[in-house]
Amino acid sequence: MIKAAETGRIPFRSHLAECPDCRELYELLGRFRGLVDVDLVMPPPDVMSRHSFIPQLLQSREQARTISGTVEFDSWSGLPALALRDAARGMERRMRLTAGPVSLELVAERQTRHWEFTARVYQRGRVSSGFILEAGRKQLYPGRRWCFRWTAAKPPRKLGLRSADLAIDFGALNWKHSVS
Amino acid sequence: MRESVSVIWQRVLTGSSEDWTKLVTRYASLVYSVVLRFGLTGDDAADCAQQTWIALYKSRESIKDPTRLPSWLIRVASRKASRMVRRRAKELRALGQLAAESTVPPPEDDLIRLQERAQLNHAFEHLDDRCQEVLRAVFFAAPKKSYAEIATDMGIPVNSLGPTRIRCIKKLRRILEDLEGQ
Repeated sequence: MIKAAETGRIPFRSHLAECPDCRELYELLGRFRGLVDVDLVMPPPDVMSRHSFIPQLLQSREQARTISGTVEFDSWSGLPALALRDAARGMERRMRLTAGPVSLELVAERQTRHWEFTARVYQRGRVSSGFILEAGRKQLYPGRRWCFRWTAAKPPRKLGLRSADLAIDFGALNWKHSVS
Repeated sequence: MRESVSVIWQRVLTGSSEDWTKLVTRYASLVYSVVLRFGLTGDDAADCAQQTWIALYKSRESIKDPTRLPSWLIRVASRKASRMVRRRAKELRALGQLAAESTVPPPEDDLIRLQERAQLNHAFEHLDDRCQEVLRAVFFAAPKKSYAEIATDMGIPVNSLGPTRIRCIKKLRRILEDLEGQ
């Protein structure tokens, strides 16, 4: 029918009016043709795996065990090395916070009007994807390469990590820089 | 086996992460394409898509009609993308750089066509190889070929191409109906 219509061998419109099946098919064809130029872009594989991981990340935390963490390394404590002059001026702070087998690596950079943060969680020395980071009131989800990135006008007073079985509290953080 | 979005969704509600992945696989390109349409790229596009999926997971109990999930995803992804574009423009202005005064969202028709294309792509995957080959050649091949060329390529008589095409379109329509859970 359609081929015939395309070559003009039958009065196409009048045939469509009489044939509901053909009309439906014709509309479907039009719909498909209209979609040929529409591009759908698949996200990169690492983004796909982040999407797939959401249920594990957000599952109920009622059973989570609460533990406290400590500061294992802080670039603001002690005498600054010459190579860390930026840190010495208080422009950058690097920290490693640990709780049992879990550690949080944090880099904080002071910009003119805000702070920029990058963090990553490790469990038994390997990058871990199963935690939500709580920075003050913000709840952050891991991004590319399972890093947390965020900006804020002020640095967070508290940091914590949450997974299905662990709630880690790193306590209060002091952001007054003592080394001048 | 063909599974409607309603069936998959029911299993997501019971906590099946395998079915969550099926849902993500089915609609990830739709969500990502929506945020790209707003001009986002790289990490911003990925984060926006991620926020959309997180929002879906958090709202899963309140979604009553899973057949409307694609339009739900488009709406939420658009809102999040638009917000991110505004935030980025504000940041640029704070740094004294040029930024668009306001977001120009893509036309709604454009987003609907993305949704239709996503459904069509998915239905297409459920067609048998022969039908996929025929419909791809007739509708999606570039440059376009004549019926005679397509028939030669496929090794079938030219006068059987029309009926085959119609049979395949009917199959595709049935699959679309199944997938949409109707």
